[in-house]
Amino acid sequence: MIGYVGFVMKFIVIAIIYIILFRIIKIMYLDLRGIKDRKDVKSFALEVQDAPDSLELSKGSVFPLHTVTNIGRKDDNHIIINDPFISANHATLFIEKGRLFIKDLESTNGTYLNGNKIYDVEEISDGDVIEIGRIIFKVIG
Amino acid sequence: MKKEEKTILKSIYLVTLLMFFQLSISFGKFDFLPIILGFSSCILIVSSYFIISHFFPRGDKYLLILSSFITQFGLVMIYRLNSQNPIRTVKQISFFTIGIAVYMFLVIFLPEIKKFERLRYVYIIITILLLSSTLILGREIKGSKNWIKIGSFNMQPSEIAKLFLILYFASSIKYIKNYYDALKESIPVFISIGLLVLEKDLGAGLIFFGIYITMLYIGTSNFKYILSAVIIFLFGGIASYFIFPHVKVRVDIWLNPFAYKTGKGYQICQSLFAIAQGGLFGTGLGLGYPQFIPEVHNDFIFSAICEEFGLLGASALILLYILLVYRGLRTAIYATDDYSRLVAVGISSMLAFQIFVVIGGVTKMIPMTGITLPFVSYGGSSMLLNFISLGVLQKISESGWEGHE
Repeated sequence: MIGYVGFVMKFIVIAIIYIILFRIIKIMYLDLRGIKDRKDVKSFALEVQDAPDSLELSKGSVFPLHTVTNIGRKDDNHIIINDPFISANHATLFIEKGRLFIKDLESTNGTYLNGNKIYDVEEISDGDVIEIGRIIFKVIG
Repeated sequence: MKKEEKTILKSIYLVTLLMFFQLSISFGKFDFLPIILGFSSCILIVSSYFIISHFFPRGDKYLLILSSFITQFGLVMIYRLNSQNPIRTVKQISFFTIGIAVYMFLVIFLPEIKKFERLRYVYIIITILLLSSTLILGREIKGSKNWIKIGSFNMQPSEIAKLFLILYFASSIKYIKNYYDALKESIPVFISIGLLVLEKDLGAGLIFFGIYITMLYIGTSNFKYILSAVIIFLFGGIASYFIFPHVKVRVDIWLNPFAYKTGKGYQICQSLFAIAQGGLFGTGLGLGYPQFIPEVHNDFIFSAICEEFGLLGASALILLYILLVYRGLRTAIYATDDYSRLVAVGISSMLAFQIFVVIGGVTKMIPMTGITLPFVSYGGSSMLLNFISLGVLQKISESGWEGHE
């Protein structure tokens, strides 16, 4: 009797152990895939295409964009450009669900996207040209 | 994620209680003690998981889940092997309790691991003192002079020395710029390994070398250092085969255990018979004859698990260990600074090499060396050290997660 119970129980115990293992491995697999997905999130950057020589902004230098990136003359911006043509808080770029947007912060000289002045929020993508003051940025993503 | 963790934990309680229930009926009469033991260890897991997930939700919970599940195998097996005299099981479950308590204590009170970096000479002095203390104060148990008796408590200093060696080597790797530096920083490690060989504690020496080489490679990613370390180790190994008789005996038994089957090779022969007896599904808990293996509750507990849980149960245990090591290395990847990263790598490689040396030893893949299987074998200092290292890992994983979520 005891031998019989033991015989049946050993299969049950091994089965449950493997179910636990399977569950743990499944979660770890999801976790690994999560890490990969996180790296796949699209990232954007701004490349300086043209700037006056007096500003110490060399052509081709790249600014990586965060979830929110502010551009302006004041020290609390992410990208600080000390140029009289740029307002204290000039424009902001933000990433939402993998899409990049630009918003003009009512700057004096305005922000231009592909030559057109921005009045409200506009979506931008790879290859667009942004003009802020005397500086021309190209969006790379 | 939390829901899944709870389902996994529930299945772990179920399987623990089932195993203990099976033990309570398998020796002819119904016994209440295994059921009490099963419930108390489940309560221990419940409370520790509650504290960890409630107050430290950022850390890696699977370190605790996996290690406590592995410990259950050990508790069940130790009870089964000493069913007539359950004092060992009660002792082991109290070590498990103390281990969990120390683990909690470390998670709560340990400062950031990177603050430990400055004291590197202290660690190496402690390591060498611990290892040499057994040469003076130690007494010989089962052929190895690696035990110290404090009151009625026997402890193995080499267990604790491992952790200090990891702390030392993690801080000294950044000083390695060229070949000369590598040699200079490695001298204390080689002194420690030499002391271990003198104490006839070959398994610990092998583990020390494994930890050292893994950390060296991950810290410097220079293959040249590894190659020279392996060459030095090989020369040392061949030399010690000819100089020390106990090394020669171990290797001879490994090459042909059946030639010594009534004498020195008796233990490993019985272990091989037990593993063969288990087959695919095992004999069933309490239905095999693992008591024929000498020292089965200690170094050879894996053979008993092979016999009673079969190939499937034993490979499940190995998979659990692999997952635990993987979690440790994952902690290293997420760690914020190099020092904690190297400490996490060291601890994971310590676990990995320990498992490899024990399981390889009892299955006659490498020469047998007497060390304990982490979390499973009977023994206070080994259980305590494993939970201390787990607490350090948990602490690293917790501070590592801050930047990510």
